[in-house]
Amino acid sequence: MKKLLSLLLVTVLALGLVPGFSAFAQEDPYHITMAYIGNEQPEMNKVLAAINELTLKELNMTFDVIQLGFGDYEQKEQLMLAGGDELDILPVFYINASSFVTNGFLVDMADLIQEHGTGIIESMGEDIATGGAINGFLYGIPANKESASLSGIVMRKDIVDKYEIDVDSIKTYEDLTPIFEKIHAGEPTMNLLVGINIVTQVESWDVMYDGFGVLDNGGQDTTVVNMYETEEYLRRVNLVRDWYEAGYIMLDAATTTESNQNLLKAGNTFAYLSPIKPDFLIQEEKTTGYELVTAYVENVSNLYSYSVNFFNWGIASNSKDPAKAMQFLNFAYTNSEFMNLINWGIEGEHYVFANDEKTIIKFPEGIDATNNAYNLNIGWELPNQFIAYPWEGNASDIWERYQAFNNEAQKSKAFGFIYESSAVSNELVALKNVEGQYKKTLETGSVDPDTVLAQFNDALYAAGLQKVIDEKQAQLDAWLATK
Amino acid sequence: MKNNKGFQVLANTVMLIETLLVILPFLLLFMSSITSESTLLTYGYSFFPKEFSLESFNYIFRSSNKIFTAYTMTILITAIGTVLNVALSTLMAYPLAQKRMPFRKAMTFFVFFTMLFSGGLVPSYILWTRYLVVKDTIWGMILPSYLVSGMNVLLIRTYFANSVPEALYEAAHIDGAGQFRTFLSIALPLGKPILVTMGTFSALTYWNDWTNGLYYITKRRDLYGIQNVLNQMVTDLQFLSSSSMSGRASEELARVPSTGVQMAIAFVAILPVLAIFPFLQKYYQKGISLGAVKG
Amino acid sequence: MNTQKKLSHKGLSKWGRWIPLYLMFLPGAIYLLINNYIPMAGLVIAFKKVNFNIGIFQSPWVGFDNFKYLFSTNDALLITRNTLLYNIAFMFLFAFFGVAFAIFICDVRNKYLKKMYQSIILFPYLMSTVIIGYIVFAFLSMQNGIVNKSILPALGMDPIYWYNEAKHWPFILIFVNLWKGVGYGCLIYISSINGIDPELFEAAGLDGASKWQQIRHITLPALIPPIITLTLLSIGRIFYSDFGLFYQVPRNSGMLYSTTNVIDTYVYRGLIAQGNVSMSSAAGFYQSIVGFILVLSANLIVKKVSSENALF
Repeated sequence: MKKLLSLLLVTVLALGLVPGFSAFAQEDPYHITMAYIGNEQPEMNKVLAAINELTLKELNMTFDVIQLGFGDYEQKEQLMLAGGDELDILPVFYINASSFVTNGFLVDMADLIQEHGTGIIESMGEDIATGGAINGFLYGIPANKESASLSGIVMRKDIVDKYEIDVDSIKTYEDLTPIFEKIHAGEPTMNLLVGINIVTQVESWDVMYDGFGVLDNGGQDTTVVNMYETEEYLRRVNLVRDWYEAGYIMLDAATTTESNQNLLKAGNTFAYLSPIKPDFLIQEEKTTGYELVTAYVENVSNLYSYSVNFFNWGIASNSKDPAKAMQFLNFAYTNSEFMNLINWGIEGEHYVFANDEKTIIKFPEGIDATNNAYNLNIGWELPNQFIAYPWEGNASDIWERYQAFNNEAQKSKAFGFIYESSAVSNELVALKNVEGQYKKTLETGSVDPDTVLAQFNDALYAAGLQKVIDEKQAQLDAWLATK
Repeated sequence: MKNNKGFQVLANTVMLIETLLVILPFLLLFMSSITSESTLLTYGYSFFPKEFSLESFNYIFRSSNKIFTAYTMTILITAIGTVLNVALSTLMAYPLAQKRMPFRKAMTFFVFFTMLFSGGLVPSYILWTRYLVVKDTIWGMILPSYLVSGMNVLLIRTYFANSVPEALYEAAHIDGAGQFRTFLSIALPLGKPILVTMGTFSALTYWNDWTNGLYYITKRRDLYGIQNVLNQMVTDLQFLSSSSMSGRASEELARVPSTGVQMAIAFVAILPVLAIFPFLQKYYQKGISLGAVKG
Repeated sequence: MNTQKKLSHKGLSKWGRWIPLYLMFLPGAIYLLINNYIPMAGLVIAFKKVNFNIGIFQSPWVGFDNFKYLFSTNDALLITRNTLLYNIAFMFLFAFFGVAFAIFICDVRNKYLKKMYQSIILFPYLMSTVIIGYIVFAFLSMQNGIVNKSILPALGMDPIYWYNEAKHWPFILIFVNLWKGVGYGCLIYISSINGIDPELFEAAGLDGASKWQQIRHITLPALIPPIITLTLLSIGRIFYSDFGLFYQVPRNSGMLYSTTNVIDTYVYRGLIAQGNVSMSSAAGFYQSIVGFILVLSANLIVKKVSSENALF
């Protein structure tokens, strides 16, 4: 009964119905509104009540969320920010960071994090925690996750076994050719490789935000060059063209809207390229319904700004009290009870422990992925999944392995650098259109690089690529000088 | 007479071809939604699929609660929106058709101008949410953008001005009928064909719209219409399978339905309209003969 | 016979007669004022470097800077050409097929067929462009489409790489758009034909006028006003295009840009990553102002030729 009452109370508070109400605090609780990108949860309100109980006790704050979808988050977020809606904490994708800062949507967190975010700095390390800065403007704090870029090929195990493929022999792109040849002889109608990411999935360049002007050699060079003229790119594009002509690649590769996983699931596909992280196959096998094997291609493990800062949490300039918002973020990055609640729900109801040591969790009896009432399961975007329980199927030391995985990667020289693009925004519009015209078709082998690649590069330079490269180089040099 | 028979043949032939052109793609859409994904990707799309699968419809059935709610919302929104739209547009159009009314051209221009320039989404959003507080209410699905369309007003105006002889309005005036009575007793009955047509278009606009839900609904997802549900699936899939996201959120990707499911939902979304259409037909009948009104 | 009343009406002030009309106009006008006119203040965004933190109106002016990207690109000519040509084609073809279908449908004697045709022409209008894109793909997919997999082989022809060859797309896009949209104008024309006094046709029939003569002298003149209204409206939107048609239906295939890239898709592709509100607002302003000038000129011409059909 008491629990029910307090539940009711926090719900009322959370809804803001009784703004001045504060029975158990000297100061009115601050109300935090946080947007997240994910799915609707039937029992969201119940979990929110539990979170509110926690945040009231720990921070004297109430808490509410706004759910955004993957497809519509960008537009909704922009409207909410431009329209001055109530919002404190919001997800900031790397690709939106620059425009959000220019539009004045975000609060500079550089000083706030030093003052109210020491917990974050301690847990992530200062260079990671404060890496998301544009000209010193800290737009957000990265979600703590596996960030190193290590990619490989994901293949169906039944086919691999049938044709006795030596998976260990795969080291480079070229090693794939004889494998495809062998399978194609036996399965002439099978799509051996799908995806529009064939050439660039193995990230051998630091693309520095948009790919127009990159750092070669995994970001170990500090001279900005045109990616589409590098040796490595030329080599891969030519190879992919050979595969396409030999019939290994799906004809509609450049225009399909099916995900790689869905294509594989449908049964006529052998493999696709993907970033690979520890325990990656567990999820992938569930999605595709096939037993899979994987091999690293080119084996380049790099740490780029855009993968660390791929997804960040920022503070909206709509926030009535950014300092309070920062305090909340600090709490979210360091409080495992909060992380477990928001990602997995309430213990005993939405999840139970799978082992006696209470280190791994699973669905309670009779509940699964299709009928759960709460299973947000967006650890990769939430502030700090490393302090939450891993789900059954993962090793209990998964977070340590993620951490090690990140530590082993080689940091790009431009790690922590993001260029400010407003000086070249006209050029970027034209470049984006040129990219759209050539990139996908070249990288799926649909056109002959001998002629088209040159056209592509000509069009890029005509659209102002050199100006963007020069701008990036100038900003990078200035940034390197301060290091 | 002979001439006329030839015309009947021509008219029916052309329209039958058009009918086929419309029906075949719909049939293909339906067939694709009941074809198994592997058949689609191995044997290609076909009117006579090798292997059927109700997986797509099963998927819809599993989330039938959500789809049912969305359906109800769409019907409600369409009904309210259409009635308001037709009422307001007709009231607006009738004065514009009175050729001798002072300021008529300026007023027409006032309507027409709204079709050319728009202040953009952000200012509209600020106005509707901050000052008119329609956010997360059913009015957010109805009021913004579609309540009066300049297009409908001008088309009704054209009809009132050209298909209803001015002499009739004058006669009524001379008979002592007030403007509003003339509107009710002459313009409305004679304008029935265009009003039904505009009502249809307005209903289709509301039925097909997903933008109001996208902009003006954030917390109350239960107010979403069927098109919002469909649109969300489509855009989620596009985003998650885009190259920048590949492999980064495979857990999410696992939940996104395939093309087959999207086709099935598209089919479910248009089904009721297909069912309602034939009943609407009787309202498209010929307008009342002018003689009837004159007499 | 009503001299009494006529006199009393004359006695009213000159305006008295029209006041009820203005009152009828008012509710809709208020809505347009709120929904359309007030947000137009936001057009200033196109001339500013907007920072929402300090507010739209406080942000600094930048003159025409936000418009530069629309003209400085090598593609400016191509996207303008594509936009214009497609819209002109749509304008003529919609009018032609809309009128033809309307006349056919109105003259079909069989009641059931007539009802069916009337429903059928509107069906495609129900589909979102995304779904239309899927259907087109089901036909034209290079690997799995019906055309390449069943129809062309049956005819002994080689498969056609639809999504790689730009030359097919003007026809495909025009066909798809007609397929989708012809019902709209058609239904308006049908309502106009239904508004024609049936006595006119009866009289013409008695005078021995042929079907074709009846169409030319009775039906078509009645259709001129709605045709002019619809045409003027589409001239006003001549720099705009149906985004879904040009983006979703060709599946954003790069090899088709030479015939599928229009102003709207160009701006979308260029700005999606940048999220620059000012630049997209500038594009809209540019599209509107061109349409505005063109439609004013067109309306002037209509006024000269037949003043009662001018829009304003």
